Amino acid sequence: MKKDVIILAIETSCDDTSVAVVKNGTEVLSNIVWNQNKTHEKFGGIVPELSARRHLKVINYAIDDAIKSSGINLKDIDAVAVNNQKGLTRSLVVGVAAAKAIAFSLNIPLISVHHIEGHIYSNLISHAELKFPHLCLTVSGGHNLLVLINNHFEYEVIGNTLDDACGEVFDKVARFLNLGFPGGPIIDKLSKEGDPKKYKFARPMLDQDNFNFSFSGLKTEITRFYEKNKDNSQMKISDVAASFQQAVVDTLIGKTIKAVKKYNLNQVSVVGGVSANSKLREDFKIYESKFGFKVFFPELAYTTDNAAMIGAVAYYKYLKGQFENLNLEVFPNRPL
Amino acid sequence: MFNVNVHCKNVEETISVAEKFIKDLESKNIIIFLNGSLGAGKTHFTKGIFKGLNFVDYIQITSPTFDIVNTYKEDNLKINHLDLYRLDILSKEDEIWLNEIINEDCLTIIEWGNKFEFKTLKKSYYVNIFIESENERRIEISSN
Amino acid sequence: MKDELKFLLIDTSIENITNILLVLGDKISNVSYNESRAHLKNLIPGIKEILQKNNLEISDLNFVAINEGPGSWTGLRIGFATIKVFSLLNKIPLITFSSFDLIFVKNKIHDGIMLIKSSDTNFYYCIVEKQEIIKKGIISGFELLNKYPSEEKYYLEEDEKLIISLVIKKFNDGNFADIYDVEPDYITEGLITSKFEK
Repeated sequence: MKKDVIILAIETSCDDTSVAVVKNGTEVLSNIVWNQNKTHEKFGGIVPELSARRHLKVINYAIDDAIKSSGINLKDIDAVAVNNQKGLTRSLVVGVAAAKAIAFSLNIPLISVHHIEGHIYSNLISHAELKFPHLCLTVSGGHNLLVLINNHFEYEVIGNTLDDACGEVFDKVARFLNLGFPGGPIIDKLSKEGDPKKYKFARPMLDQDNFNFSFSGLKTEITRFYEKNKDNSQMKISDVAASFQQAVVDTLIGKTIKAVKKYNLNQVSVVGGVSANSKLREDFKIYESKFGFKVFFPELAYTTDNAAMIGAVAYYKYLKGQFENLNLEVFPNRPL
Repeated sequence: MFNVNVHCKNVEETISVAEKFIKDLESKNIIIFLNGSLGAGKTHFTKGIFKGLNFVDYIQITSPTFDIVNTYKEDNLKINHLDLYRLDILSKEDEIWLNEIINEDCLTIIEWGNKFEFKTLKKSYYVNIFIESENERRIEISSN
Repeated sequence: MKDELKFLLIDTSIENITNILLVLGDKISNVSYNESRAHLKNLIPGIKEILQKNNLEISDLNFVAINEGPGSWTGLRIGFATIKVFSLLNKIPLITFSSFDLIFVKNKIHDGIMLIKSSDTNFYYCIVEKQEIIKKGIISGFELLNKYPSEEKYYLEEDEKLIISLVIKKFNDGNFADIYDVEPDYITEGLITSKFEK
């Protein structure tokens, strides 16, 4: 009889403190996320030192909540997992220190996970039909990759951003147009009122024979366009937003389809914060039937930073016995 | 007094200017404040600096917009690459550790550093990139 | 002895020193690492080593104590994150102490300014007047001389035995920290930064 594997997972890479309990990689028994939006409102942008202090302040509440609401006992936990490979150092160390204390206290294995790996696995939580090999487009503020997932932990990065990640461009454009923060959801919402065909902004790098991304040119194009036309009463901000969003969506989908064709894959997983974008989801579905692939998106809660996805990866590492020593450190900008 | 004022026709020239700039500096224990509006080419200039330091993967250098600090070590040289874009109002707590980081014994490149006032006794260079047209830039470099 | 108190004393307030003391009644055992930015790497291994060396289980401990600072913010956070969680899971009480606490334990405390070095140029300080702490903060060496030219300035010496007796007293008084909310003594006030000039 196969035993259930219960993983306690921690994710503190930026400004959300998250602790989750995940069973067998796909059953999320609890996923607690404490976010820090109130602090950021006051400061306009991020505040790394204050974020780190807040992680420390809430960590025991988050761990307690995650365990209590999962219904399991401490002795049921088979391993503890933590993201120690991408994020703000001073925030990451809180999660890693906590995870090590847990591993030592409960005498259970310690598993390390890369933040982006977490996003890659976020789709495996909800979609049992997603198999290997498949293509993964992982897009957020901090990263923008096309990855061939041949098997568990066999990643081949075929495309990367040469400058800004698309989530970052959403934030920067939204900020430039005085629309607020975070840019992605705001532009998504505003674009619904606008015409995505009104302005034809560049779809960067689509003509190039590679799978890399570069959005800084598009960013410059929007800012220059806006500067030139801001006194033009005919220009509606919702049209600019919608057209800009369409340019990003077309680029992401275009590159992905190129990869689908080249590598002959019929499953595409789209993950990360930007995978929550409604136009991206809508348009991908249209191309699905056209090009004969199936696209998968995670539930919205697993598109942003969360510990459940860390727990999902950790399950498979547990099965392979990929454990760390108690002298584990953080590697804040390690590539995937 | 250090003073440079060049016109760049395209991205390649921006990278070259940066490459030559860093190669000509004897001491790398300095701070480079990199300023310019969105899209001016601060990241390209940074790639040029890494190219000038013989970094094989210089083309893959991106700005740590999300993680604020990226640290590199090449041939005994430590490089702190900072991007303060996401910081808006600086809390005094963050100002304290940022001041400490930029005063470390290493090469410090700081994008969007002109948003805040920093205190340092280290030799500093101020690189300002102005957009002249779609591809053209004017780069002014001065020092303290 | 069965009644002897067994506890850990942790100090991660200094950037390049991770200090772990195990007190077993009269016996003091010590594991220390002198490595820059290595609190995260060494703290749990150090605790594990010191317990194993002394044939102790975690459950044998009566409590854990940690230096709340002031000191390196990241160092303190690593110590606190580790010990708070440790305390939560093992249901062991947590006690905090500070170098400044020594003022209350030493018999002779003199009025003046007590200093703890914070960086190359800054100090954590507390001003003692009529044998009481009236102000705490962080100050640069330059300001210190300017603002307080005539006051007596002194460094409080490390006194392991006093800290141990202080911590035992807190335990006997039931003076425990709230393991959910407790945080280090960051002390930011006082440092004149470019934005907050008076």
